[in-house]
Amino acid sequence: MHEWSLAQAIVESVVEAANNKKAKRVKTLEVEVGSLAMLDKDIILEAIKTLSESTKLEGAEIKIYEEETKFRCKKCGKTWSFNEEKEEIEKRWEDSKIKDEYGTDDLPIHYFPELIFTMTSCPSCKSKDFEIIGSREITIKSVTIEV
Amino acid sequence: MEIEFKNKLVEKNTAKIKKIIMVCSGKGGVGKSIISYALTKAISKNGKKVGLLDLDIHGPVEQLFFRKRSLFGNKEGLEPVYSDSIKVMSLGFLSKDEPIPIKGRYKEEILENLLSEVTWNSLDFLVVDMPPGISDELFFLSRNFREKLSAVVVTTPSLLSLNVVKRMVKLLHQEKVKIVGIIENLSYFVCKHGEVIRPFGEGVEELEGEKVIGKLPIDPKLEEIVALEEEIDYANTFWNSIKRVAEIIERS
Repeated sequence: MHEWSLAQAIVESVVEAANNKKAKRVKTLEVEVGSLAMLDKDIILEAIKTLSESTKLEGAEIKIYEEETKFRCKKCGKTWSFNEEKEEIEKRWEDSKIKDEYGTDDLPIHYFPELIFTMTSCPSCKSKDFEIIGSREITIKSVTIEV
Repeated sequence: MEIEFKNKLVEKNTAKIKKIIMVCSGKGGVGKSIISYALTKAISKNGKKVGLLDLDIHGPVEQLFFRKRSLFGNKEGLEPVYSDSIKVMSLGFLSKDEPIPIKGRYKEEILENLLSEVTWNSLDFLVVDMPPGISDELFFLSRNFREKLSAVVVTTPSLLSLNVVKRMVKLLHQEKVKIVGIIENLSYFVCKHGEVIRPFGEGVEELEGEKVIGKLPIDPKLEEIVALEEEIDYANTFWNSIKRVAEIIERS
């Protein structure tokens, strides 16, 4: 549950960029969250709004959307999505979940999405030689400013 | 406007680390992991706050010295395992005994996550167990921590090892990474009649202008530290040598 620290880094970076461009304020901010990292987008939105109070980001239109993470096997060409096998992965890796001070249990991919290569294989040929298509974690997709 | 923000987290979570010591080689199997662990213990026993980061992503082993320990999450990220006054992070805590096949661009991302997610707080030293070879890990550290980074380079007396390690030292010079010194591991053993045997050759006193700061003996008791979960000073000949190297690092 590290959404607040991610949100803080996003706010600091956006405000810094706005200052560098001598912007009066930030008009819009778009953040994409890949389903793989299992981040809670509502918490991220709340955190960004709270942390941007009294900054150039305050009052901006903030959009956080989730994109389904997909995979493509480089050996057999099979494509599949993380959401299809999420429950199965949760079951298999139950004993590796990371507890936090709020009583939440998170899979290691919440912190290190790249560990998906350890946690799963191609459902068709079982190879680990697959690639991630699209978003896997959290990315600032766009920022518009008023100069 | 495209904005990168993870570097903010790297800065924040490493801000209170005074010095980062990477234990590197270029060659595999020379003893980097056990030396990293032993140096961490020795520095800690001298009263310093110390952390151990296993950056051997594909073959992490530092978790084997801290069994039955788990990582915990907090608002800022991930708390390292805390045991015997040492903070430890290794992907080995999170991957059971499964392979960790992370390739290409994902490698750089997991390195960034390892440094941005772990909340080390204040440390006098962070000892980093590096993977064999010259790759992303070394460049990642030298790019991000130029001011507080230095290296100890591990070799064996074998000509094959020395040849590879020499290239590593050259690269560190080119990248302007400060080298504390060379550690020659598996240097010798003393047989029961008191004779000193050097099975891998006479070794060297310096390499590419860098001084050898420690010649570590072959100590068969080292294996038992992992197998029987013994304390590191159980391997007393190795431990006595590593303590001297730790003092040099602390003064560096």
